[in-house]
Amino acid sequence: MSNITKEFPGVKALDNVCLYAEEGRVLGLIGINGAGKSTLMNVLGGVYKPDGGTIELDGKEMIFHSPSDAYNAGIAFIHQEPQYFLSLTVAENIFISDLYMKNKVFTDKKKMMEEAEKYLSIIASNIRPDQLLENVAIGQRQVIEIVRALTAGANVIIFDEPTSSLGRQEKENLFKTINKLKAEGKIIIYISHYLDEIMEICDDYIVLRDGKLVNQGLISETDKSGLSNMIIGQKLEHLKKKSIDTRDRETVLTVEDIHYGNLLHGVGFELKKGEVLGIWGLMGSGRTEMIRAMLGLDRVPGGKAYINENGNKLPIKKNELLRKVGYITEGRHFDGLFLSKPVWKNVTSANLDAYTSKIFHMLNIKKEYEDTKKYIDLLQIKVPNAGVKMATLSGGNQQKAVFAKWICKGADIFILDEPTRGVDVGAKLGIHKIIRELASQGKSVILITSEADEMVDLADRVLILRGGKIISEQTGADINQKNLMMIALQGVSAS
Amino acid sequence: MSSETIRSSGGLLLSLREDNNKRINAMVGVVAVIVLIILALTVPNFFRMQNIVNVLESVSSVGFYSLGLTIVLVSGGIDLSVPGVIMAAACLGGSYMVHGGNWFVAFLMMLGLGILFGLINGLAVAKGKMIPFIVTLSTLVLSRGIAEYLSAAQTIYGLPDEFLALDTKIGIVPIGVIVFIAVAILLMVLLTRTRLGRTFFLVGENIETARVSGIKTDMVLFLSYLISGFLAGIGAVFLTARLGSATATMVGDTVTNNTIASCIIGGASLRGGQGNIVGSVLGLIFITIVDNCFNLLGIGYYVGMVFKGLIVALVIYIDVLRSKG
Repeated sequence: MSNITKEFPGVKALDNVCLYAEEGRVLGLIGINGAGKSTLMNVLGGVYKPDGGTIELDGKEMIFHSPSDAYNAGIAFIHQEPQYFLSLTVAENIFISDLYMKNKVFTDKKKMMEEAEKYLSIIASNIRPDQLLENVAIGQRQVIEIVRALTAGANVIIFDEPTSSLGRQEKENLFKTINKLKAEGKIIIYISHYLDEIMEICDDYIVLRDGKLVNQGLISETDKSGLSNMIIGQKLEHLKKKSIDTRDRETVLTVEDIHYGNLLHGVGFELKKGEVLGIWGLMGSGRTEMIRAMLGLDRVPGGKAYINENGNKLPIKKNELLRKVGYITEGRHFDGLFLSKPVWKNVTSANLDAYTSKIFHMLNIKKEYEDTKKYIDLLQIKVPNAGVKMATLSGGNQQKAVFAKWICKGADIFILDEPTRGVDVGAKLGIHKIIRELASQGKSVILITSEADEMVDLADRVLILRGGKIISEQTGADINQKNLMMIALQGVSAS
Repeated sequence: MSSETIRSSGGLLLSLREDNNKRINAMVGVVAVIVLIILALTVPNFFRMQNIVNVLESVSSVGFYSLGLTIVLVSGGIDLSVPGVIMAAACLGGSYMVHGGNWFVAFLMMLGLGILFGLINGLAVAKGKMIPFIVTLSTLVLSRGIAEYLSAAQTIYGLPDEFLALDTKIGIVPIGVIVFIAVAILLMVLLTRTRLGRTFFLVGENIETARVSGIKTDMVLFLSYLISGFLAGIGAVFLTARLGSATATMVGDTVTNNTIASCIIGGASLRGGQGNIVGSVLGLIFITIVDNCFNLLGIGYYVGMVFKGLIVALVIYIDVLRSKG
């Protein structure tokens, strides 16, 4: 790939990036969230068309109009969470898009089994082609997708964070598989946040930062700290705003012992009054899952939660906790708003009790409307009036409306998961202001964000998730970009 | 300056989109009125008083279904079981009375059976997380079986006069019509003015947001089916009184289709979160008049069915157009 450039409205996602990968070698592609890795791979996989630059495969220039063009050219993606047909056999899953046919109607089962067996024996001889997929261990299912790629004649195989849902043993098996593919002379591109993995499996590396290629070389000539320095770069640190030490304050919420599949192994924390508690970690570190488990939104065992009432630590059920907190996610459309309802019905939806009369449970619609106008002014939501449909608002204003909903409810705990993703800069600053206001009024805020500067600007205390555990707590001046990234990448602080 | 421009152009775009929905709704209304005018001018006997009363009566007897269905559709579900439940309740009360049972006890039994089926549907959907379409299709078959069994596939007649008195007219308006109007007004207030009504809309539009907002979504879903079942019981009482008998075939095959179509014409959506009582009643009157005109024009039952099938398909397409807007 040479001189690849890709622009999205307002951002240059890739700027003249060149990538060169050789047969029989594993190339590690690294960079922080948003550095351009996924965009680059989506260009290679035919998902995006580059604005400039060329792709050459075996010396031939390729132009991909669609993912299937790239697939036919022998470029295969191994996804983080592939989709399978559980009630079909392994062989059928492998050949799902191109079943062997005896004639026009019936499939040739025998041929399919033989072919599947042939490929399976190369990389995973313990899986039988006639097994039902549901009987294959979850960690081994990835192999099916790899075999699928091989049978389609793939020469370039891209692994995108392939280990995020794997246990240790499964990870070792995957690495064995990759080594076998290497021996077969395939070109392998390996994307991961985990530098240990990169050091172990890759031969070469390239580092992207802000859409630019910043470094490349041989893995044997560098080490983990060298790589993480390249990833982070020499960013100018802007000074941390006056920081407040919140560690001695009253605890409002205690969470203990959250487990979540392979992702989280017993995490817990305390939330203090009037603080913004940041949860930091790489993508796939289980930040969101920790919160969802805590609130009982996924069917996982979860852990225990306690809430402080009048100085007493009382256990609280998850669904009650969900009713007490304000939960704001980037998925506004999915679980934040009622888009075809007017703004006022959205704002009061979490606090209907306050507008309900004792007899007949009638709603005080006038008061709902008037109160909504108050919140619109308070949060500076830009709308012609409180009666317009939520769908007509811009992303940033919709997100402010979600805040209004929870403020209207009078929540004392706010949980924010990527609260400013997809909103414009102006609205982002507005939301930051709202978050600070909330904390200064004594509300407690849990903040998850992938943007380091947002974390640095807002958080009083940061917990860092890595390898399924909270490995570090940072406060005050230690909350800076370099430190946060260093710990998330390597598990040790910069100083 | 520039953000101002963006905002106003965005606003314009979106207001056009909102206009689109209004335009579709207005179009539905205009087309309905035109169809009615054509029918009124071409169909003989259209304006005869008896005909109008006929229309009103048939609206009210199965109309309780469309009231209940409006609530269920608003909360994002569907209830196909009501015709079966009406017949099961009618046959239960009917056979009880024919065997010497007290009419008022029979009345309560009919309401009770309706509530029971509402309870079953509600629990299966809300707690069992089963798909409403399949749940209520099953209870439809089940309740029809009960009706056949209780009536031994015969017409149950000879009901006591006290029960048949439920069909007396006050002036020219039958009691059934008056009760229908009263229930419709009550439900209209419930949907638009009460907390429960609001939660029907919110759950129907986006159950995940509703859950995260602290609304007890299971309870809301459950109550929508319970109300629908209760209204099926009321419908059974007045239909039985009007017909003076009960059978396992007293509610026609096309009623389900007609009722779903009338709710959608009236503004409800199969995707949930939309709908209103007035619209559903107007939709029902429209469908019933069209139905009635098929009879007056002497179009055969089966040919009529073909036309009604087409109308329903068209109406559901309108629902698709609306949701695109």
